Amino acid sequence: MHLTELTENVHEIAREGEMRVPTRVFASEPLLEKMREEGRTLEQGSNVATLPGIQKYSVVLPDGHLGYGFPIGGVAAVAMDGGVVSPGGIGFDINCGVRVLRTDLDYDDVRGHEQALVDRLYDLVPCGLGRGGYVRTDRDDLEGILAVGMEWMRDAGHARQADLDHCEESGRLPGDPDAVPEDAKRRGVNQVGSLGSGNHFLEVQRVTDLYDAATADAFGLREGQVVVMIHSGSRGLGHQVCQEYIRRFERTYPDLVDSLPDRQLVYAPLGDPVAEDYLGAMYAAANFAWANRQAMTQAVREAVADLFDTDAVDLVYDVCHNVAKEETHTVDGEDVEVLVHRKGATRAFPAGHPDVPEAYRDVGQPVLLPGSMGTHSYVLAGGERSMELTFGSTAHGAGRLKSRTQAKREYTAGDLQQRLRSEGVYVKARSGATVAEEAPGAYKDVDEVVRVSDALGIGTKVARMRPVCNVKG
Amino acid sequence: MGYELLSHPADARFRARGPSLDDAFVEAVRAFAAIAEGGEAADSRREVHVESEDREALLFDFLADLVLLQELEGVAVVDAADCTVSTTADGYALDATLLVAPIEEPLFDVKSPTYSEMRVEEGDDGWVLEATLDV
Repeated sequence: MHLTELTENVHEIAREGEMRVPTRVFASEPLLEKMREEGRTLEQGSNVATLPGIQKYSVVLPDGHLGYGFPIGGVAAVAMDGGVVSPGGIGFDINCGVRVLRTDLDYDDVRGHEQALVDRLYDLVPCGLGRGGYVRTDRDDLEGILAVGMEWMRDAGHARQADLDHCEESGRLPGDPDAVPEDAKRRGVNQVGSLGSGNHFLEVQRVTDLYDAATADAFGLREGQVVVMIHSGSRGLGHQVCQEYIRRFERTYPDLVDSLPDRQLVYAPLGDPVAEDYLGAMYAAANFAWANRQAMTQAVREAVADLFDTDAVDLVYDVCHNVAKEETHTVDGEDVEVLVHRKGATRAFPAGHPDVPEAYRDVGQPVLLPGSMGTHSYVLAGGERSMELTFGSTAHGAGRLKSRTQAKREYTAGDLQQRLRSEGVYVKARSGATVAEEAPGAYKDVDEVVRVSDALGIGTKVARMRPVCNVKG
Repeated sequence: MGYELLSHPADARFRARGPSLDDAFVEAVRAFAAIAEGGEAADSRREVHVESEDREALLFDFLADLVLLQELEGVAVVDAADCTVSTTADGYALDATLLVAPIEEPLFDVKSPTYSEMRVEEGDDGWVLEATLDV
């Protein structure tokens, strides 16, 4: 597989074999090297380029790494007319995403209370499997959430109107609850407001650096401020939707399976009944994910009110990084209606784009990039070149460097927690194994991912945060 | 023949081996239980029946059933007493007797099987199953 450098941080794999378009890789040499070490990340990017209806090129972003079918950090825009939808291009955890809450607290207000805060958050937000969710829901509630997402949360008293106004798509996509498989609903009914396991987390952070004071001000961020980042998705419900539709696609198009470079890339032509059902179910699962992150927001509000006697916990923004959405993009000088698959990729619309919430339209959409629990996280703004280069997208985080098994071999939970504590980071996790698996050293350098995004002009730096308390599933 | 937990950049992967396909599936259950960090003291059994069009789909569907069992019944999969794979007119069937335990501490959340680099192959030493679980 030959990579040609087009310009700084932009590389191309030319069309070959079954590829319908080239693959563009947006990465610096150190990030490229890590992709090569993983073996199949770039190959997966080129497999995506074989999808019918794909436009312009298959995109691999700076945090690209090995996924299932699609690379994580992958974007594909397929024409609504003649294109396909691939559940593998959205991922199992539909609308896995990130939100940031700002508080009116300074780091000095929280210092000395970190242990109490992390304990309270851990008690309120269920982690792992088997502890339910923060908001109790029954089947009727779930149907409402699947249909209208954050609007149900608001109407039930679990969200403020301002939360909807500061959320991608206002926290609602056109979900079809009837298209959601029964077992998915059974998995989701008691998981509204639950963190899950793996790389999902809830983290209290302090803003340490501002790079763009005017945009930070528009986002309500200031140096020394305490913010809270939540990374989670649609839990078992979203996974069940993805899993069952992959199987349904396979059974509907049996001849397709044998022709694919990777079975996980199975797809259905847009407009076919099974594709329309999947889109309705996927959007419903996205609504569930927003409700899930919103429920955890309510838990954070309860903890902060209990310990610091303030209700000033406001949503800065909430982004999806596993989703497909209908958008209009310019291809060869023409406006084309496309379904943009973003798998481990964040929408990064620039200032002036009509889909950016009104509050941020003058500065661009907030882009939220988590690091690992011992390193920085970032807030970026959608960059001017994102529409031209990456279908309005940028990276979604650091990306793993070491496997979970390798991390567990190399790190011990006790040592890590002690070291992080000495750096002012309080960690509370479901198990010691979780702490070791999520060790900062197990992740790539998020600073380099952000540097490349900023240099490309697809997502530009606004603020950087350091962890204070971290709750892990 | 046993199982191994393999390295994967983001998720969890295992290799299960057995002299027969039935035995390899038993080892796959043990690998799944090790990844989910479930309990060791099983106190009840569950019967599982899966039918799929090919062997890879059979492994995918079986692992999906293990995930569902844990989430919907609130039990941890600990072991398999028996797995039997047979052929059907449309492909393959698997009947398994699973040993399960109550969930006392929250489990590591295994969320879905994947087809990613899945292997179901017969070699000189028996059968090898490999799969990646989304966690």
